[in-house]
Amino acid sequence: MQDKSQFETFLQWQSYESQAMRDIRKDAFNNFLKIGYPTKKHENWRFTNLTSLAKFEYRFPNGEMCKIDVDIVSKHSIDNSHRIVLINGIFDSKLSEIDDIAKRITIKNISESSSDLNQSSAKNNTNPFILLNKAFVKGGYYIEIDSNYIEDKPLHILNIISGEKDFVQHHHQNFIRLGKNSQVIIVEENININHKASFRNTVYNIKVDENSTLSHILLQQNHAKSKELNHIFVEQQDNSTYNTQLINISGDLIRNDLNVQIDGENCDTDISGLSLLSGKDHVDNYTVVSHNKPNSNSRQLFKYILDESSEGVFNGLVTVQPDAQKTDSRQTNKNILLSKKALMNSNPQLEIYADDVKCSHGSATGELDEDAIFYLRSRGIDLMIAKSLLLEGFAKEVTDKIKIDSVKEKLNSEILKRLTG
Amino acid sequence: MLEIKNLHASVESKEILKGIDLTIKAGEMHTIMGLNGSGKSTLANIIAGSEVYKITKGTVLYNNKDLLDLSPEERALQGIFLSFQYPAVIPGVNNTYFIKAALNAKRKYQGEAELDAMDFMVLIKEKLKMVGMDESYLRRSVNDGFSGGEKKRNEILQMITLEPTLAILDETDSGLDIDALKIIANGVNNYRKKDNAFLVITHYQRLLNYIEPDVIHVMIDGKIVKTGGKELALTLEEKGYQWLTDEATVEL
Ligand SMILES: Nc1ncnc2c1ncn2[C@@H]1O[C@H](COP(=O)(O)OP(=O)(O)O)[C@@H](O)[C@H]1O
Ligand SMILES: [Mg+2]
Repeated sequence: MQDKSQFETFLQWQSYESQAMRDIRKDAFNNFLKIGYPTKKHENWRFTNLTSLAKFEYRFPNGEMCKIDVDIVSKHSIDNSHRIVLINGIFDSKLSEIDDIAKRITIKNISESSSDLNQSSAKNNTNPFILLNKAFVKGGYYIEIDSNYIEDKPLHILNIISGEKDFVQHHHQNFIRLGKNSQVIIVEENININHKASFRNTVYNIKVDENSTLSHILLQQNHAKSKELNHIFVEQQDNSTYNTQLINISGDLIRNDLNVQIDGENCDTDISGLSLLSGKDHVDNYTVVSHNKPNSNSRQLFKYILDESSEGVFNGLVTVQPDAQKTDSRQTNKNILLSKKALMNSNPQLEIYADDVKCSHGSATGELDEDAIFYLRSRGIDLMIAKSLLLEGFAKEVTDKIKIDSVKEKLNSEILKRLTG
Repeated sequence: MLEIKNLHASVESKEILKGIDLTIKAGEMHTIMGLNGSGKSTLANIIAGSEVYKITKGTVLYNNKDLLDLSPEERALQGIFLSFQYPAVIPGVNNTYFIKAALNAKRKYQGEAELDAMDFMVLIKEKLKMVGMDESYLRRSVNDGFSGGEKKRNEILQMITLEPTLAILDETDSGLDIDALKIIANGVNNYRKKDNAFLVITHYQRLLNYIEPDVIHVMIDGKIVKTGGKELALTLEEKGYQWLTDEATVEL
């Protein structure tokens, strides 16, 4: 449990901050103390065991900058992209390569000021982890794309967590703002380079203004001792497009709470997820898509491949508000269990308050198709290759949405590793 | 080439094959006819290595070696091919990629160099023509959204690409219009050689207008009850299967 003395120590580090900011933090922390960590009794946390989180006394990165090997950055680099490197939430200008876009795209660290935080979509949220984030927020990025600007090259964000200590907490707030008529692709990779136990708790504030298009790929690739929580808030205005792919490759605990408010007409929203889980990985994707205005489309497609004792949860809620006539919404969750011990909980939900809408949802969990395996083997294809072909084929609906070849290849090689590693 | 002796097989303790004896020599084409449910597909699947069925008795030799010991992929590499009655649909797996992987697995097994993408395309385009398929099939997922006839053509495409030693065609003719039937028969006839063999399962005499089997077997209730020449098919056409059932009962 977070105790008061930890918070006091943290406030001392932040002694340079304004009184307003300190008040925000204090308020949030007191509210957190009142509510505490959620337990399995909370509807939204029924399947998620957080005891391991509450058990440890976490430490905070105490401002020390960690030295990062340039090799690590180049190992993760993506051809033909702009690179933005953050280490423990702090923007590293030396490792980043963004010079040629600096005029049209603002890229900086958030200032942990009351004015920035007051812009946060999570301002009045009472989720205990969001409260914790507000109390301890330190680091995160602020990216703003100018109106009428289309960037073809993806922005590749490397969110690196590093440090010598175990049980370090990272509370970040990230902002992505697209002006009118703008367009950008963001590929964001969350990685931990030292194999230390860590807890990453990030609030995303995303706004996609009129006629703009945001593609946001989030690659979550942690190690067995890392926990990652993301609270992603998205607001869409008229004629905007928001695509996101949440790719969970591994991690002790990953939880994504994605909340999309479609506040404009004629919007398109495409959300998909691919989770490749093994060991004791646990991944939750909780999505809320709220159609608040007429004539918009939303699609959700979440696929999980679960091996060994891994667990997955998909909980998707689509609400169609009375105003949102002519909404077209689809929600699909498909899962493959590779082991008898793997577990999947799926709960797609619909709440419709308008009458002229098209909505569908469905979920299916099964094993690899034995007939298909036999078919491939009967053509001389080795059992392991047959299985990996089927898994690649299963994942393809999601991986095909990723238009960046190197990211796609990386995913396919991860799928192959599932079976041979 | 293939020697089946007293083969019994069951699934969930229900006996389906009840003592099959069948010997096929190189260069021969055998046909098995019989009503639905008599066990023809079960036999075909067992030869290809299906693990669904339990072999309770009997032996199967392929080139004088125990076949039942081998994995399905090993059997394929050694030259066995089954054109499935109901080919699997595999969404997301590209048809070209699949056939190329199968061919290269076989080439590798035979100690030949694997074909690169370019050489493979040249080869597969030529084979496509032989079964009357256009190149769009190469871009699709394996059998995904294929009509019944398209699936059967895709099976024959694989057969003539993989060049098996023993090809088993399980009702490859059913559900085909006459043009498709001719194309399939052509594919088979062109591929007939003195060192390979065919086992053609059908329950129509129709196909036999286009291919010339050496031997016809009739299978009823998990057993081969009659074996004869081409004329047997004509008798079946005329008299149906009932007389054989009666005959079999009399023999008992
Ligand atoms: N996997 C299986 N599980 C249960 N029953 C099966 C299975 N495969 C075949 N059978 C049964 O065995 C019998 C023979 O089937 P099959 O070999 O498909 O016949 P045919 O191909 O001659 O029509 C049928 O009664 C069928 O229902
Ligand atoms: Mg059959």
